[in-house]
Order: sequence, then structure tokens, then C-alpha cells
Amino acid sequence: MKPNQLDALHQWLETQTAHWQSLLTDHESDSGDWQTLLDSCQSLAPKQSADQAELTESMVRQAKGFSLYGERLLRSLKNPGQPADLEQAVKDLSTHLHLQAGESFYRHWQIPEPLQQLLHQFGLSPSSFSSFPFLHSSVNRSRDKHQQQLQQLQRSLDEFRQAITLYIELQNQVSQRASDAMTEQLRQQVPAPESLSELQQIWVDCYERCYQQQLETSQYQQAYGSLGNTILTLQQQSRDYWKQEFRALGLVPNSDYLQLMQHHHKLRKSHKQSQRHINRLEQTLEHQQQQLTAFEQQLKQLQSDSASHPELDHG
Amino acid sequence: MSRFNVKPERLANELIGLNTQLVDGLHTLSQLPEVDVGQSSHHTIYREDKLQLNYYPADNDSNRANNRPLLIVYALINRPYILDLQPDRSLIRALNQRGVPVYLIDWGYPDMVDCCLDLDDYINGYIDNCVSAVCQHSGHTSIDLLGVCQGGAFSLCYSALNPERIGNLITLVTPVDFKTPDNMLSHLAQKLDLNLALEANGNIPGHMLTQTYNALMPIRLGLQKALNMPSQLATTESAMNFLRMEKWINDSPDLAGEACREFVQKFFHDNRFIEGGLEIGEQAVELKHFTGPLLNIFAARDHLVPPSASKALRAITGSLDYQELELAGGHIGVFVGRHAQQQLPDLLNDWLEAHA
Repeated sequence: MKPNQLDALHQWLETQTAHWQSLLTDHESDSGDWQTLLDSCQSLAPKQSADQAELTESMVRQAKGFSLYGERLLRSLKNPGQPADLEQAVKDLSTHLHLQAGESFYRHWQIPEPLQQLLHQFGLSPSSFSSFPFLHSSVNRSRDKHQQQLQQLQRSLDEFRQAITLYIELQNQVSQRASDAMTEQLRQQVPAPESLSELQQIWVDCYERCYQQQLETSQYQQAYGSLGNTILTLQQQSRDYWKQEFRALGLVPNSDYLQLMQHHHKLRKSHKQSQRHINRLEQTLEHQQQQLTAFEQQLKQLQSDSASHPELDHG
Repeated sequence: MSRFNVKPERLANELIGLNTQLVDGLHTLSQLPEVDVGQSSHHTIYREDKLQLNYYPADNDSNRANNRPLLIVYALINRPYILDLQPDRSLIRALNQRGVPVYLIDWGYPDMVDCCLDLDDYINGYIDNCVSAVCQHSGHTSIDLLGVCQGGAFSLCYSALNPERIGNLITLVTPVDFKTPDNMLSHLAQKLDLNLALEANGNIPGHMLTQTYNALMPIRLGLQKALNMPSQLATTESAMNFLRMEKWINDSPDLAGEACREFVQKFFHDNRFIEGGLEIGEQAVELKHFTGPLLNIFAARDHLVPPSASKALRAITGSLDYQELELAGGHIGVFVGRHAQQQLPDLLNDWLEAHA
């Protein structure tokens, strides 16, 4: 990290610290700009792996969310006229954390970028083939085929929408149950939690417990499977689409490549099995050769013994 | 009535503390060297396709009663360097220090060329060839085998098919009964259509598996991890420890499509170890055929392979000397956790010595 970036971070921390302290008084100062931290993530990214860079950015985003919620809570706690409503406070926290968690929840259920492009293409916009400009003029697609693919895609998208709607509904149920469980726990917990981290930990524990119960239901398992399968279907349709395009241009589509791999694998397996068979035969041959050598030595020994005892020949 | 007692002053200090940790953490990150893993001394003794067989010589083996080499078969999922994550968290190094010579199969990163590899290729091909290579390299005619997770299932199959080549068998966090009610991973896996995944991708993308694992504890492994991260980055040492584990979690190779489909079908769907009728290649696998000593170790808080899934082995093994042990910890913590660095290697070494 360059010295000026480090200075910017320290400057941000000073501003932010002053901001938190000012919230306890009547003279509120500005908060630090979180973009400073996101910028420093960007500067770290080139020397990090993609996963590490993503994790670092996620850390900053989650800390930002935590801080913003903390600020709201701080403001409400500062207001002596506002009665503290446990259920409302828990609901606020739960909503906030559920939204924060949404990032990791739904990230892997997003429609992948190529599929988004594909959808755009089915919106009859050939300019969106930007990554394959040669397609614009070269492809003469069959209208019927295009229509058929459009219908298939529409069906798959409907299924995807149904699946994601049900999945989100089930997740919301978990969140609601977690809030209820947390409210109940807070009513009974002695001593009462004194920090936001403690509150958050209680929510996480309640959530994971309720989620585990949800996970054990066949309805959730079915919904999870449906969601995954509809996305895979969309991916498959994307491949099919490109298969046609590749063929039209005389290129080799992925499915042909896969078939070639299957043939190659069969041949290779057959070759390896033959090699193993040859190895076994060689081992057997070597073993038999050793036995033969041993027999020969025995025979020589017997002949030698016989020569040294001629009387044995006459019985 | 409010049942939390958060005071404004304390909350302000807590937020100042979090922001300070965050800035310090970013500073730590900026000064870290490259995240290194797998540092124990080793060399490769055999290669086939993308597979490498690595040899980790024992520090001193002169006093051992059991001088058979130990071959470790790790799962196809994630990378085997979790067994040698860093010097002070390395099951392999700990075994070497106790005089055990270790061989480890590194499956590599399958790509499209490997999409047709099946379980026959892995078990009757790769593992068999590795056993031969270990025998040749060590000068023994049989070896000890340690299988981890899916690698344990492979090891059970291999030892049943080749009992004469295996002296002792150890299974670590290995699923045997894939249909116990508490096996959530199995419940989810059974709902996914692997054929669709194969048609769409050829292989099974590694990140798809990571996501499925994360779906078992989404908040703890998502939001909670990100929020706790600043405290993990407090020092260079703690940051490196954290990032090594993160590197491993995300270092998830694609799975050879056909092998994955076959594994899910035969084990997750058909539960062939328990139901019987398991065939690898064209050979019937009868676990009764391996009668040698078998040590089955599982983790008490394993959310991926619950103890019930591993314990089922007792009823179906042919081992005349079967022993099972439940250790504290989770699926990975059981051999990576700090407390595990002494307990597990001692336990393995003592058992191997007792079965010379």
C-alpha cells in the first residue's frame, strides 16, 4: 500500500472516530467516506488472489453495514423520548442482518453473465453479440429454431422465477423464526447483552438453529434442488444455443468436443487395461521363469547327485 | 420492555474499535507475503496424467516396529495440502516426526480432458498404480492406507478389491452410510440433477461444491466470517493462518464429471456400501473381503459427514480387528485444529505401531 493510501486510511479513521464521538453530543460531525476503504481494497487486489480480493471487499462491505446499523441504533438510544421496544429493535436488527447476509445467500443463485447476455439476445437485439461481432452478418438463423429456443427459455425462466420465489420465501421464514427466537432469548437472558456484537451473535446463533430446522424439511431440500436444477437447465440451454451458432459458422461446438473426449477416454481406458493385462502377464511370465530356473537348478542338482552316487542308478 | 442493555457510550466505543480493527486489518493485508501452503519437504515419485504421488520421508524410522509406508488418499474435493497446511498445522509433518514415511496422492486439477474419468479410473487405475509405485519405491509388498473423507470411501473399495496389498487401513471422517437422517449434505446433493450439471459443464465446477457446503451454514460461513475477519487480521501470523485456510477453502478443483456422477449415483442415491451391489469397473466390491486391521476415526461435530454416517462401517466391514474412535472437532478441524496436532498423529502412530 502506498504511503498516501495509508495516510488516507488513517485520515478516514480519525474522521470516523470523531464522528462516533460526536454522535454522543449535540454537535454531530461528518462521517468518513467508506469509498476510501473500498479504494484501498482495489489497490490491494492486484497482489491478492481473486478469492482473497473478494473476501477483503466483503469484509469492508459487511463492516460498513454493521457500522451503519450501529449508527442508527446509537441515534435511537440517544433519544430519551423514544421508548425501547424489544420486538421492534430485534426486527430491525434481523432485517438489517438478513439484508447484509443476502449478498452471500443469493450470490450463487444469480443468473450468470453469459445467460444474461443470452436473454438479451432473445430480446431480438443482435447488437448484444458484441463479443462475437462476426455473428452479426454471418449467421442466418432459422426463424423456427429461434422461436423454439425462445419458448424453451421462457419456460425455464418461469420455472426459475417460481423456484427463486419459493426459496426466498423459505429464507424469509427462517429470518422471521430467528427474530422470534431471539426476542424470546433476550427476554430470558441474564445478564442482558451490552454490545452490538453480542446482539449480533445471538441473532446468528438463532438464525443458524432455525435454518438447520428448515434445512431438515423436505420442502426446503426440494426448493434448493429445484433452484439449482433450473439454473443448470438455463446453462444447458445456453450451451445448446451456442452449439447452433458454432455449427452455423463451421466451428466445433462444445458437445462435439465432449464426444471426442468420450471416444478418447474409451480408447485410453482400453489401452490402460491392455497395459495392465500385459503387466500381469509379464509378472506371471517372470514368476514362471523364476520357477523354471529353480526347477532347472533342482534338476542339475539331482543330476549332480546322481553322478556322484552311481550305485543309485542300479536301484 | 427492553432486554438488552447497550449504552450509547459503549456502542460508540465498539464501533470505533471495529473501524480501527478494519483499518489495521487492511494495513496488515498490504504487508503480507504470498500465502504459502504445503511446506514440508517432499518429492514426487510418480506422475500419471494430472496426478502426482508425493513422498514425505520420515525424520527417523530406525526404532519403529512398523516400517510399512503410509499412503494417504485424499478426497477429489478440495486440495490435499490441508494435511500440510503450515509447519505447525501439518498432519503429514507430525507423522514424519514420529517416524512414519508418508506418500500422498495429489489429484491435481481436472479439466475438460478428464471429464470422462470414472471411479474405475480412479480406484482401479490411479490408486492401484500409486500403490505399486509406493511398493516399488519403499521396497515393500504391501502398504498401510489412510483415506480421508471421499478418499476413505475410495480406500474402502480399494482394500476390498486388493486385500493382499493393504496391511492396515485407516478411514478418517469417511462416509459409509450416505442416508442417515442427519446427513444434510446428502439430502441436498440428492435433489440436484447431476446429469444436467454434466450436460451444462462437462465437469462439476468446484465452486458449485463450495456453495453447496456453504449452504449448510450460510450465515456463519458468509456474513459472520466477513465481520470477524478484521480481528483475524490483527497480526501477520494470525492473518496468514486465516488466509491459508481461506485459500484452501476456495481452492476447489472441478470434479471429473463422470466420476462425480457415478459417485453421487452409487453412494448418495443408491447407498451401495449399505445396500450392497457396489461395482467399480466391472468388479464387485465386497467390504467383507478386507479382513485386516481397520481404524475408523470420525469427528463429533462433523456437519458434512456426521458420525452416524461413519459408524455404519462397523456393521459391514470384514475386518477382524476393527476399532472406531470419535474425536472432538469438525470435519476439517479434526486434523487441522491446533489441539489435533498432537492427539491425532499420536493416535495414528500408536495404532500403526501396535499393528506392525
